Amino acid sequence: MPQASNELSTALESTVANFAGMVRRVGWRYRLSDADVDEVMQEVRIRLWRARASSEQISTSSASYVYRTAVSAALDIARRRRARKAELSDSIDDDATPVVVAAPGGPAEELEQSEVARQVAQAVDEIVESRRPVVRMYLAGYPREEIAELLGWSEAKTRNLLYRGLAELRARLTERGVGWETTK
Amino acid sequence: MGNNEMTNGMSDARLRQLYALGSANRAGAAATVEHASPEDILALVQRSLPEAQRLETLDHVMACAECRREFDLLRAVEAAGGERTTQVRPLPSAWRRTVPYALAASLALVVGTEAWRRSDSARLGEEQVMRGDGSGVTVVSPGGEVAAGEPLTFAWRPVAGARRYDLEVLNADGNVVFSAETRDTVVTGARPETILPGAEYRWWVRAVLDDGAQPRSEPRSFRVVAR
Repeated sequence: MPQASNELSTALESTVANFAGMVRRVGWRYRLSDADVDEVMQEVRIRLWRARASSEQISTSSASYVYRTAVSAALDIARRRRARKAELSDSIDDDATPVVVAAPGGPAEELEQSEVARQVAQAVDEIVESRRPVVRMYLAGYPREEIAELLGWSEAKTRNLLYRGLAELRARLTERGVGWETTK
Repeated sequence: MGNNEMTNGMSDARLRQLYALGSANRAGAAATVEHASPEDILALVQRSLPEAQRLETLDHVMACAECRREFDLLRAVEAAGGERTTQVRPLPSAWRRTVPYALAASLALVVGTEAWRRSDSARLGEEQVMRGDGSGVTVVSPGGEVAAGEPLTFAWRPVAGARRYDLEVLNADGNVVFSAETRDTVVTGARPETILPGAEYRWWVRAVLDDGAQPRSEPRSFRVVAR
């Protein structure tokens, strides 16, 4: 057995580091945690190290190999998280604790805000299907350009559906008596 | 959607806040949820699902904190893959020992301080940081085509609360070929030898704010053309 090295070839390491940098940079846009990026890139390194016999070939062939490895590593990480979560909820039933995000003000305001928030979430559920994902994405903080890109829609179509979706949401909230106009 | 106020006066920002709170409370209370499969989330970010399924999957992913985390991760990996060219040439030998992500300082030296200088007011510690009102970074120039042989000037709009700005120029392979730190909103000088005629580059600016936030501009491309 040749002596195992914990390091990838310099060229491959450079490609991996370059890719990691790119994921991190892109991640800034998607509010991705550094821990998630690190986990994927660690997995990528392990996989490439295991395939080190051909690593020289990998490093000179193309960096798209690193990309493909990263996609499959990220997929596996997602699968493992799911499996872990399933195990946990089978053994301990502690995941059902509601996460309550604190609202400014006293308990009464907190309760009121939670109720309004619940109404907003419900009203979003009722938006017409073709507009709903766009509204959800927008409310979750994704910029319009990214929504358009993900759905393969033109900027105009995205803007139109989002505009209508938000108008519908506001109308539904008004029907429920939720909104500044109706607060005392 | 700005401050559109239809029948209800709730602003977009307020809706976002309440939606986040409502979703978080709901996620905590839900005992069992049917999640989108990681494969479907990947297909979503790779845009390989038919539109109806794409919308359905996206609707679930956006409503589910767990799926959204996976979506963000896969999307970042996918986008990082898409931001590079399809085939990456081997790195020049001089670069192989260096980690591109940490190249900033060393490359500035490779490029040469003679060819490149920050504008006079740009040296760290000497001047007030240029500040503005916007929350993101908007780059101004260069973009499109840049004539070879002419000095390059990178300029962007000031950001409120910025302590400094980091500029990076990347080649088509995604490698940083030039970088600078400045308190100004301009970096100017003769073209460094790593920025070549006939090649396309992308550049961006990250603002480092007093509160630790680091908003970044969208990448902007320019191509150096021989006249």
